[in-house]
Amino acid sequence: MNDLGYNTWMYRIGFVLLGVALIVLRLLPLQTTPQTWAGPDVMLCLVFAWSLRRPDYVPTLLIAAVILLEDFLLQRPPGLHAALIVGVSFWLKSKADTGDEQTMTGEIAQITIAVLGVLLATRLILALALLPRPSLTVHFAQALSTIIFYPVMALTSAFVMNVRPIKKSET
Amino acid sequence: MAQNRPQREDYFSQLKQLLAGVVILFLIVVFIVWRIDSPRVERFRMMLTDRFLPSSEWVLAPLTRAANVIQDFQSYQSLYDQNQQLRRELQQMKSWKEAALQLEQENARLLDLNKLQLDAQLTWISGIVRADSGSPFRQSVLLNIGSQDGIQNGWAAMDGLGLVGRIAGVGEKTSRVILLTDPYSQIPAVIQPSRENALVVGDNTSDPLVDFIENADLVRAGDRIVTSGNGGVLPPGLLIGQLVVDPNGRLRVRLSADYERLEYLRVLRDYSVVEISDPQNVLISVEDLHTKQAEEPKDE
Repeated sequence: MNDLGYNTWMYRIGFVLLGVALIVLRLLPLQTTPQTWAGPDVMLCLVFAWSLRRPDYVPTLLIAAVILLEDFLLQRPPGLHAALIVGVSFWLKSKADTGDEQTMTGEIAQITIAVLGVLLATRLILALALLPRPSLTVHFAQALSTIIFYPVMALTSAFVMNVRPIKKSET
Repeated sequence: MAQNRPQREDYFSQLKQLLAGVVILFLIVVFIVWRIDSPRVERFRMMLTDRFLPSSEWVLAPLTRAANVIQDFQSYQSLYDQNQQLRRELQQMKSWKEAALQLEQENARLLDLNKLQLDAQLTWISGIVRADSGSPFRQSVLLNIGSQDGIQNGWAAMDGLGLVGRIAGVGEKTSRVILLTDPYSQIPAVIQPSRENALVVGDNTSDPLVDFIENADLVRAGDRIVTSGNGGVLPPGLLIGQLVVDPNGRLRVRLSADYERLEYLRVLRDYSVVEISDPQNVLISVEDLHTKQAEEPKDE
């Protein structure tokens, strides 16, 4: 593993810091009344965008650790969301590894499948475990706004944080 | 070396698959353990929050303050209207104050006649709201007081006027208040003046449902709803809010507490509370409460 550059490690540390910052932001007590809609799950966008672009910046263990911490701090059933996201991001990484040039539409289609997959699996498993499920409208609103927010996250990581796929010619 | 390359990559990708599989398995095991033995995991969660929150307080506090300043600034636009409205309300309040003073004196005289002793144990501790649940599906806040301040599970949290929620989860320096609007929150209540028993059930909307009323004909919109203290859940007589009817004809409660701005909460000390060894049961006690409600008439 000595072919991992200094840069990669910086990005990995950056991912963890960004993840913790996102959790802290969501914990701010600004919204104490129930909402009928829900904002995007920025963490999900971050993990998926980086998994598709630079799988080496978001190793499985780091994703698992950050999302598990999020699960615990945000009062979610611990482990469920983390397991699903690790699984889905692994699938996205395998897409990234094939090395084909991605179009934005293709990418958004994949993300849509991924986000809806996480939503359906969450509801299915919660139902199987006889746990109460979050209200469908709010849950769906969150998935929708996550998909809409995704391009913003993708462009931000590409142009601001410089997370871009390695081109074939460079390797 | 060049020929070895594909094999090595193949080996790595298999290793990665194995790792991902193991990690997912571990996370699923965490979920299953939580499902089976939730009190232990919930205690761990509270411990984690207890560690995480104070160390991030230096970020949380100024950011919250800044956001609130911006919100305050927006409200300057409607300052004049607000001022007028406040004057009108103040005028009304003065007449209420007069009425209250007279009633207080009358009450004091009657208490004196009865030689009644007020419960001196019911005092309160104030806590500052440090964080919310962070999720659109759960409604709770974290206070900056915990077991080292003597907080116990099951105590009531109020703002100045009405009930806000109850303590579920106590760490050393923090404690979590499950708000009445949380989908897990169920509070036994009584509707005044008809004295009908009911259950105030949170459903993630701003006005919780009022459910399990024996005789819904006896209650009307505008009736006061207070805690009943049934089953040892919360002290009796705490104001929850007013009964309203939603467009679907279902009974709901308009909460008296100001949920828009939860900054400081009072936690009522109440040592008569049944010791709750299992915080999760405070949350998921639907069956429990139903049986309690069903048993209640037999007890009387």
